[in-house]
This record gives sequence, structure tokens and C-alpha cells, in this order.
Amino acid sequence: MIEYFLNLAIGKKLQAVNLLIVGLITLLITVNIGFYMFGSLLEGYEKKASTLSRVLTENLDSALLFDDVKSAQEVIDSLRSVPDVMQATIYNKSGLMFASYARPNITIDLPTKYESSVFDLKPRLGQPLLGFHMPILSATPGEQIGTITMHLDLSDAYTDLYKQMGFLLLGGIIILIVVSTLLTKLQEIITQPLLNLTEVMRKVTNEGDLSARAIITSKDEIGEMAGVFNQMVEKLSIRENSLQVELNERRHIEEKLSEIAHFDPITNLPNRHSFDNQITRVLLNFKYDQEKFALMYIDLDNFKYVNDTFGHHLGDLLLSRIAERMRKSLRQGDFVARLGGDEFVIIMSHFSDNSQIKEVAEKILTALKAPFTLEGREVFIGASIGISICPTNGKDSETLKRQADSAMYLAKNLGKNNYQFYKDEMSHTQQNRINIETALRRSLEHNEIVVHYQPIVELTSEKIIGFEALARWIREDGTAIRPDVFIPLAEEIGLIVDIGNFILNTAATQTAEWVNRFGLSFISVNFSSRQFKQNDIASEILVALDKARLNPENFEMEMTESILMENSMDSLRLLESLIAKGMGISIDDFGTGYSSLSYITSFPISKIKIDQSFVFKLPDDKNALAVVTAIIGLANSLSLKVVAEGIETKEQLDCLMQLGCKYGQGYLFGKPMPAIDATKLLVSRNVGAS
Amino acid sequence: MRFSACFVLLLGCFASQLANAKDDIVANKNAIEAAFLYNFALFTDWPANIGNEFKICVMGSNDILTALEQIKSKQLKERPISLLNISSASQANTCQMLFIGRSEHPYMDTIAKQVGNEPVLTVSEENGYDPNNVIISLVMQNNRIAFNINNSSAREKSLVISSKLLKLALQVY
Repeated sequence: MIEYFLNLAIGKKLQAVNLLIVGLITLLITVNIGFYMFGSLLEGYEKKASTLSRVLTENLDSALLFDDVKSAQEVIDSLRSVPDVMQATIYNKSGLMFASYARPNITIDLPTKYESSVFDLKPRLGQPLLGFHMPILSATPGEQIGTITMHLDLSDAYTDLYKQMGFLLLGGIIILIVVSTLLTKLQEIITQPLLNLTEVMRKVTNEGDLSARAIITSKDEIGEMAGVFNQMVEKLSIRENSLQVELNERRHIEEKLSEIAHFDPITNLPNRHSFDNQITRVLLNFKYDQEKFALMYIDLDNFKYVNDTFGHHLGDLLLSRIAERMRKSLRQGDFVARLGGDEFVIIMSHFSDNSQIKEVAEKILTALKAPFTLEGREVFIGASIGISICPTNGKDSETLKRQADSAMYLAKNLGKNNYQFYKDEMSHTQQNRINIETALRRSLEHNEIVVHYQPIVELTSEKIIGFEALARWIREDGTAIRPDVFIPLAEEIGLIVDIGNFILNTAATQTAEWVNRFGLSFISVNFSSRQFKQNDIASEILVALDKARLNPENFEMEMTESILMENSMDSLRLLESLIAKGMGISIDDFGTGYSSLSYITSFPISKIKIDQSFVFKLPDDKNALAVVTAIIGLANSLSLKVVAEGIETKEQLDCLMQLGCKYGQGYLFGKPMPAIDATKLLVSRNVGAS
Repeated sequence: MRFSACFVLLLGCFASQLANAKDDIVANKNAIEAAFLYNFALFTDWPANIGNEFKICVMGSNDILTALEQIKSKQLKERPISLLNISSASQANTCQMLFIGRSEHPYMDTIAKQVGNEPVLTVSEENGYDPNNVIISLVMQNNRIAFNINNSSAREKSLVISSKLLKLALQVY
């Protein structure tokens, strides 16, 4: 019952409560009125009995006084005309029954001697009789001469009462119906806003329609609730919107990421990831349809130079142009991807024989050979292409990739700008390179890297004034790896920084000893471009010199022209404090590069070294002679020291001395040698000479 | 005599207890008649000029006098009752009621003349017949004492007898 009530709608609840209250009130009023009516009815009956008795008494006193029963009987028999009277009995002064009247067909057992209790029937609801008794007084004051008693029949009264109660109840029911109807209408006024609000809430919840708003019709609690609800939905809506925006942004980013995941942003070509997918696809094609395909690895020649020289911006621009040309060189259905750096790959299907592959390779080489104009500069570039073919060379992606790579390296070694098909013997070369790389990584910890010193002499006296420190890799088995093999490799894999530091420290320590013992003037140490890119190169040198207790005046940095060109003046300025302390800057391989006057004058260079390719051609080659003459003249006019590199013969030495070159180095004076040999040479040459 | 007085006393006691009793009429006849006298007075109105006492006069019946002693302590018409034993009706002028004993009945006409039109309610003792010239005459009927009323005579004497009393009378003239 209570649960049933709790589950009712608020409107119904209100209605039920109101009906209950109205019903109770109506019932109470009805009962109250009923009792009142009963009371007044009884009173009426009592009054009636009293009046009747009084009237009768008027005529009875004489009869009683004169003991006239007959007369008394006549008097009370007159009650026949009063139907309510059940009986009336007169008792005389002694309390004995004197005369009695009873309605026909009614027998009431009455005592012959008067007993008031019989006639003291209290008027109670449901009791059918009303008892009444009254003394009969004589004319003599205070003298009771008898008692009149009476029983009145209340059944008519009850009938009347019930009838009236019935009307009252009927009236109550009508009131209930009217009130109920009114309440239903009123309750609708209260609950309709609630229902509206619920409808809006349902709309928001089920349909997610956050634009829905509740209409505020009143300023009561419901109105307030609707207001708060609207605020809530507003906030939700704002939140939802911002979520949507965030979601869109995220989707956008995901798309971008997917694009990045599959495309190279610089060239807009598919990337390595796409390439892996593509090769899986063509391998499947091969597996099911025997569809053969070719893998073409393309490595750009000279790109690193362009990138290092003109900066990444131009490098990227160049890459996109290259990609464009490549795409144009391909046939419909060929796949090209950028693997990273300056490496590209092409997958070719649908060919009958190798000539079609060759055609494409040549087309690419031709396309790339043409100069690129980048922001007003002309840039030349080449490519080396390695090709492997499925199923001729291999039937899995790893093999095919390795084979194409090997063929590409061969093409590079064969002078660049050519293409090579994979041949079985190439696998050896490739493996070799991998072995060297692995060994080089371990070389430092295995103490396989050593410093060799090549003397630099004063040409006239042939006295050793300094050494150039050079890195040598002597493997544990005693085989020496040529610097032109391992230095580029070390640069490529980043090991050059560690090797450079090792050379710097070792050479500084060694030189400090020589300076003390032999009064050696300087040590010249080579720095690569990669080392230069470290911001702390100056502090590293300083630390090394401090540690070795070597004066900066006895230290010289040797670098190529391109290093000076590539690096900003800012990074070079870091060196200025060292230069101020006396450190020298020496330009290696002078004459082969830009040989630009501007950087020579704008930077505090102390020495230039004439490239051995010129020295080698002396004294007969006129061009070489002219270049060397010009370099020496330039150096003199700028007060720079000049060192000739690669002097091997006496003729070269004489020629150089004639041209005014003061210093030189080369096999004529000594090959690069271990420190112990250099010490011996210093003992024999410098000590003896001085 | 002593016996008789004692009997009467006994009767009086009895009568006072059962003033309206209907049994044992003979024994109580005097007491009942005395009570009747009193009751008649209750239902009769006299002209206004009644003296200080309500005088009940008795002629020719000592028994009644004795019986009336029982009601002497009461009042009538708001006046104390006084009893007078008279021998001549000429003495009855100031009486309000005159009881005429059986022995005086032969002189009824004379008594009536003597009373004249004075407002005196005359009552005759039961005598087996209805005497003339009296307002209320007591009679015996079915062993009960009843009465006849000469209402026109009463009116002549300016006495008003209540209709209630008239209703109880056997005959009304």
C-alpha cells in the first residue's frame, strides 16, 4: 500500500492526500452533525415527553387526588393519538401503579411498584426507546401526588436521523467529487511545469539534445529548479562543445599523425613505414601471382655537402625537388618512398626484362644530374642506385633490401652517378662494411685508436717546429685501417667526437712533454665539422690543455675551409678567448675549397696549409706553381704563416723555398709516427742541431 | 368510648397513610371524606374576601371533625385551616366550607336558607341518597365514595368549581 503510494506521480499523491483530508473532514462533519442531530432529536423527544406529561398531569391530579382510576385511565388513553408513545403509566403517591396505557400490540413489562431506573433510559444512539418520568404535583405546593412515566418510540426518529445522515453523506460525496475535480485541475497547474521539465530532461538525456531548455513559467521552487536545470544544461552544452572541439582537434592531429606515419613531410612521398607495407604487398603478389618486382635503392651523392653548406632549409627544398623529379621519371604504378636522410627507394613491378629497369634508373640519374636552382643558387647533385630483383636475387624483403643496399654501395664506390644490379659477390663487401663499423665502435675501449705525429719543419733548417697529430686505427691483429676509410665512417656514425677528444687529450699531454724537453713550438690537432657543432668545443680544449699543462700558445687547431664556412661566426667566437691566449688556427687543404678572402680576413687565422695536391705537382706543373705562388703571396700579405703539405722530394722542397714558403711537412721530413719515434727524431734532429 | 377513640385514632393513622386508598372503604370512610373535603377546596375558587383563616365548619359529625384534625396542619388558599364545630347554620356565614353530617340532613332546607348566597361550599355526608340544597353531595357507589355537584347552586354563591372536579363528579346539575 505505502509502496503503491510512493510510486504514484506527485500530482496523484497530492490528490490522494487532499482527498483523504477532505474525506476525513467531511466524515467528521457528517458524524458531528449526526450526533448533534441525534442530540437535538432526543432533546425534542424529551421535550415532547415532558410536554405530554405536563398536559396529562393537568388532568390527572384530580383523578389521583380523588383516587379515580377510571378518570385517570381516560386521560392517559388520550395518548393513542400520539404514535411515538409506547406506553405511559401513572404511579400514585405510594408508588403503586395507578393507571397505564400501552400502544396496541405492544407489551412492556413494567413494575407494579415505581422504580425510577426503568424510566431512566439514557438517550444513546441505537437505543430504540427513550424513558421519561416526572412527578405529579398537587396544587398544594411541594406535594407530590404521583409519578407519570413514559416510553417513547425512537424508531421514527432514527429513520429520520438515518435519512438526514444519508443526505449529509451524499452531500459529502458530492463535495468530495467537486473538490477532487477542482484539485485535479489545480494539481495540473502545479504538476504541468514538472512534467514539462521532466520532458525536457528526457529529451536531454535520451536524445542528447543539449539545445533543449525548460520554459520557466513560475517563480516558485519548480521555476527555480527549471532555472538551475537550464544552467546545468548550459554548462553541459559548453563542455560538450569544448569536448567536440577537442575531439576535432584530436582527430585532426590523428590524421596528421597518420599522414606523418605514412608520408614524409618534406617530400610528401611515402615514408619507410609505407615502404614496408608496400613491399609486403608486392611480396604477396609474387607469392600468389608470381608477379616479379625490382627494388631500387637510391642514395644521393653530394647531398650532405649541400645540406652542411647551405643549411637544412635548402637541403629540405632540394629533397622535395628531387622527389618531384623522381616521380616524373617513374612509370604509372611504380612506387617511390623516402627512407630518410638522402636515401630513396623505388619498387617497380610490371616489367618483362631488366632493360626496362635500366631505362628507369637511367632516367632518374639523368633527371637528377641536371642542376637545381634553389633560391638563386645552382646546386649539382648525383645519385647512386642499387637494384635487386625478386625472385632472381631473393624472395624475402630483408634479403632484397640488403642486396639493393650492397649494390648501391658498389655504385657509390664506382664513382657515383651510376646504377648497379646486385651480384652475389657484393654480399662480401657489404658484410665487410658492417664488420668495420662494429669494430670501430669498440676501437676506443680496445685502445686501438692511437695518435701519430707528423713533423712540421722549418724548410731552411729542417728543424722540427711542431707536429700534426693524426688519428690511426691499428686493430688488435696489427692491421692498420686507413684514415680515409674509418674517419668518414666515424663521422657518419658519430664516433668522431669521442675519437677527436681522445686525440686532443693524448696529443696535448704528449706535446707538453716535448715543449718542456725540446722547446717544441706547437702541436696541430684536426677538428671535424661534427666536433665543431658541439657548443663546448672551446671549453673542452681548455680543459684538455689545463689537464696537460700545455700553454695555448703551443696549441693549434687545424680545420678545413668548409668548417669555417659552415659554422656561424657566433660559434667560432667561442674560440676567441683561446685565440687571445695565443692559440693558433690553421686552415687545412687550402686551395681546394672556396679559398675565400672574406673569411680569411674576418677570422683570426694564423696559418694556412697548401694542399698536397698542388705540392705534389711541383715544380713542373705551371698551374700548380701559379696557385702555390698566389697562396704564398696572399699569406705573406696577410702576415699568415704558410705550411706546404706532402713534400716528398728535394725538388719540391727547393721549389717551395724558392717561392718563399717557410714551413713544410711530408715524407721527406718524416711520416706520421708513434710518439716514441717522434721523440727519437726530436732528439736526433733538434737537440743535435741546437 | 375509650375503645372507640382508640379505633378512631387508629383509623386516622391509617387514613393519613392511605389518603387515596380504594380498599377498606368502610373503615376509612371518615378519613376519606375528610381528604375529599380538603381536595374539594383545592379545586374550588372562592371570592377574594376570605379572612385570615380558611374555615371548615362541621355540623352534626364529630367523626369528621376528628378526621379533619389530620389535615389541620396543612394550608388552603395560602391560609391556615381552622376547624369549627357549629350547631346552627347561622354560624356558617364566615365559613368557607360547611360539612353537613347525616344527622342534620332533615334540616337541609333550613340550613340552605340560613347560608343563603354566602360563598360557602356546602358538602353533605354520604347518606344513601342525594340531598337537595347542597353543592356537593357525597354518595357511595360500588363501594367507593363518589360525589355529585350542583354547579348552578355553586355559581349562585359565587363559587367557581374546577372543571377537573366537575369531570370527576357522578352528576353535575
